[in-house]
Amino acid sequence: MTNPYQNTATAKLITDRIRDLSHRKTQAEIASEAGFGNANMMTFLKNGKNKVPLDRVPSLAKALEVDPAYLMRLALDQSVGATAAKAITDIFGTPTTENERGWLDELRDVSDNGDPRLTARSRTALRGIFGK
Amino acid sequence: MSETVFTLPTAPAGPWDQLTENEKAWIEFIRVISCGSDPRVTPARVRALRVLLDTE
Repeated sequence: MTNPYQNTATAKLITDRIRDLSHRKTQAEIASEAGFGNANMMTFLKNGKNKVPLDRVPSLAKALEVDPAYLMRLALDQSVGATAAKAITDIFGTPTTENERGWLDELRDVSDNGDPRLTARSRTALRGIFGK
Repeated sequence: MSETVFTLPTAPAGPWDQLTENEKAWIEFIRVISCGSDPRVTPARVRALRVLLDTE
């Protein structure tokens, strides 16, 4: 298999971000900003030939202007597989994104720090809020 | 660009181990129903959340 990571969520995210940033940065500039010596690396990541090196997640997230916790979750899945990624996050905890911290702040504020339970009604309402 | 998918870079991982079990359940549920798209906090969504919790 020449592109083992093709169609992974990580490859799709990188493809989308390179496209979205194309009016401001070239692919080569993103690669350089992320610390990749080879400018073709972004192409390899987009088409799934290579997986994202986990040690590059912080710099790549910054270059792609995405939340590093979000990219780390996807890259971990891509790198070690969903089962192993779950084992890692079960032990060390899953990273939360800035948006998730925002949701937590709102949840605490709205509930007066009441630590509300996620009820069946809450689940139904959340599906409505997120359009699912 | 989709308004629900991307955010600017921020600080590293949040303190997951400092969340309550209920808070973890809320965040994990949001991840599931948003298909991991990291939905942004918007005024409309916050209003809907307030309505939900005010009537719980």
